[in-house]
Amino acid sequence: MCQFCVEHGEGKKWYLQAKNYSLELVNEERKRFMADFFENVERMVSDRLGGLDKLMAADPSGAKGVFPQLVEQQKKEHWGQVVPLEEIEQILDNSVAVVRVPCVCRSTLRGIRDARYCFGVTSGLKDPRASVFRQYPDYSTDLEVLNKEEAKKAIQKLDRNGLVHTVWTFLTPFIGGICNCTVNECLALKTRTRLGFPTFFKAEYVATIDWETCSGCRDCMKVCNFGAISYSAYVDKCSINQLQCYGCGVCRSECMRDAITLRDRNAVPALKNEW
Amino acid sequence: MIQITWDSNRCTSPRQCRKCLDACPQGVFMTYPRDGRKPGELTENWCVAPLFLSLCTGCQICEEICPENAIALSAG
Repeated sequence: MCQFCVEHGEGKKWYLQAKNYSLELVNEERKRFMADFFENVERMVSDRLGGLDKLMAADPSGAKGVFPQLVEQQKKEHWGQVVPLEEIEQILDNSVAVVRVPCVCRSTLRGIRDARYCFGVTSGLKDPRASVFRQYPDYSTDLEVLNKEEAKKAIQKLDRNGLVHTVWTFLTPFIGGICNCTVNECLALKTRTRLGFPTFFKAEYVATIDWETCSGCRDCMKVCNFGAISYSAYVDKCSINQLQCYGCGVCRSECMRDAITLRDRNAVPALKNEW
Repeated sequence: MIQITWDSNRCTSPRQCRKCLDACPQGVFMTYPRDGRKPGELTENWCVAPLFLSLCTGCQICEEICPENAIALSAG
């Protein structure tokens, strides 16, 4: 299990542990952190990710030396994990109400305010975070309240479009939101895949293709955000590189022959420490 | 190291235009609030700046696509 499951799961996967969504965790410190986050997200991104990028360009091996302390800071403040669709649905099932909000990453990278890919799992309309969030019209003007079924349907659609589902902490272990990511529009995915700096855990799963069923159509390859799938012309089948796979499951959703399954990452010896 | 400069006098509405943000094949650019974000207000003044400068290949697509010639590349 990932580090957070061990530290914050209390026997469950940490993102399925109800305590990590509890309003009891939304204390003054967290409210201030969240206000700060939404007010200054671009500056934080520019300072941290931009700073890291400059460092890597100037001194790649020196930069790798500072990764551990930067990772520790990110893990404490704002860390994520890839979660497959059925577990996102479980999280939604356990919520009272869901809000859909503009994604800060799309705002930063694409300059658009109305990309509503993020979902906040709330305790209801009187959730104290609402007052923090509403201070920032850039992100709260398009706030919509959805019931669980509407939220599930919306995320199912994003899943069929190949978006990677992720959960995010605001001062770990409190999970403030679910997002739906792509490698070019998500700061976390982009930073990890392009700069090699981790900002989240891979899923507790890894995908594999059953060659008895696979027809070699390659539709799965088209949706993989991580380049984990390759095609063997010789056998006319696709294979998933387990070391590259993040376990998001969008390939599984795409495969029309149901040839792809998600296996427990922890059951694969070389992958149980591959996060 | 490639340097990218963005001229705020020439680029007055980056979030309406967004051409460089979308055209860059490497996704180098970001936008940020010029005067910071104020609680209770919609942010109106934005800047464009390189975020992932290390990914810039110097292809100059941003220079070519900018309708206001606000972007300039130079080899560092």
